[in-house]
Amino acid sequence: MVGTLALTLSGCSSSTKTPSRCVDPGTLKVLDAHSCSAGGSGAGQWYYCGYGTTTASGGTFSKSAAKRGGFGCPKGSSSGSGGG
Amino acid sequence: MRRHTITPRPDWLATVESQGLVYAMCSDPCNQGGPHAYWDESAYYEFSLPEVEALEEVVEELHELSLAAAEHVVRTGRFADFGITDPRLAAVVAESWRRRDEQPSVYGRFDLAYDGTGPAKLFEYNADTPTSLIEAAGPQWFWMEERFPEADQWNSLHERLIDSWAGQKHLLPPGPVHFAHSRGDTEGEDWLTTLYLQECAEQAGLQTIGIAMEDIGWDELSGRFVDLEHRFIRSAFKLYPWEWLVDDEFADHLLNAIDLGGSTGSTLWIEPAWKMLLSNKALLAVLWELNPGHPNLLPAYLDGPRELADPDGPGYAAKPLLGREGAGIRIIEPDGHQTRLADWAGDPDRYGAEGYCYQQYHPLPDFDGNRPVLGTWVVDGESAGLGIRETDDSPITHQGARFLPHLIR
Repeated sequence: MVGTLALTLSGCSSSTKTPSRCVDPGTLKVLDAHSCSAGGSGAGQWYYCGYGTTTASGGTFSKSAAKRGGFGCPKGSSSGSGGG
Repeated sequence: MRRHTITPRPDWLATVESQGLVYAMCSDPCNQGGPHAYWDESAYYEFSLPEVEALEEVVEELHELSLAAAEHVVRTGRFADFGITDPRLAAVVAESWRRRDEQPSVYGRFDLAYDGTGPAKLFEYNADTPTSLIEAAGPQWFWMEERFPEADQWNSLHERLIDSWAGQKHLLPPGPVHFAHSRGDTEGEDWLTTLYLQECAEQAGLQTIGIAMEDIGWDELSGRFVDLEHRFIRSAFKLYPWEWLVDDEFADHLLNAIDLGGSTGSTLWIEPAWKMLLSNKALLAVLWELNPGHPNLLPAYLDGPRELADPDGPGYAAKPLLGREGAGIRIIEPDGHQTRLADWAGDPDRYGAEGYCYQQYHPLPDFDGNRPVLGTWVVDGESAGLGIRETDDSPITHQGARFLPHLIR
């Protein structure tokens, strides 16, 4: 149970960075990060999450593409416990 | 089974809070804003070992009968009896059941009426999102060790929960398991229960991530659920009922992307969808239909109270199929006298549109005005422990009930 409290204290913050790689947006070929940097060629685009070391897949180009709030309790209201 | 009064430990509140029970003192549902001691160690229940051994057999048999009932429902397609009228959802539940060996399922809690003299009677099976887990697993065990170190307790919850996660690790997809609670519960019980199960999973060697249901995202581009760091949610334990999940805005996405084991989709949910067939009061009627006269079951019907409403009958409890914490239950005694919870104890209009189960009225036992219900735990299909909640102001156990520890002596 002491461990539960430890988890409570650490559960609110996570420093895990979103995994990302620089890819060719047309082919999803993984490029050097320089291709995505501000001073770089600009040919690449950051691709978040997913898999692949030479060709990326299963991820997304837009971190903000996710829609949230489709489960659970609308802000400012209370649904009560989902437990029983 | 006996009830004993005892002087609480002077530091009981700080003690149980330090053991994880942060909702030991919560807001009084009857007196909003006032304090309410949910953890109550001013009394405890004592059982004999033979009593507990017999109850353990009852619990495991009831679990097996419940699985057989689910098999019957899927085989005969009686989903409408459970309020499941969407054919797509029915198909998902049926497939989840058929593939049940490929999806982790951790826990459930039977609520039983029992007074130590006759057979225990089943009131309901909380098989999807049971709570009152932390207090049953930890604080009551530590209470016993401190107050009655020579005694024993019906309690192997903590060890069994860890073993359950460890034993089902091979069923999990790659990556961390997300543990989701809803911010809709303002007392913190859902969050802490989720955290506790997350802690058990960590102790079993799983990598985990906590999240609120409200923060789960749907990524349109990849067509997958993501967390706040945009990691894919490949598996999620959710302390959030299935009937709410499939009624929410993301329900279509959930059904489209559901992993029913073996990477058949992109998100695997724990407890699995087939638990909708157990965590529904319609189960009580199917159990009685398949096992009429069983000593641990009460007569129960879906089409009305039948003979239970006869003038010389036993009376009945009308239970909303998806009701929670006693809300919406009506007890009709043979003389026609009706009881339901006071408005402060449960929103009577929240449940019932989905239908009712009519179960024979069986009063909770009365120990000096206190009415305990036995919450008997099942982990991995086996009996795992006991938690007792008590009311003294209603024949229906409600959200203002108190938790009392127990021991075996």
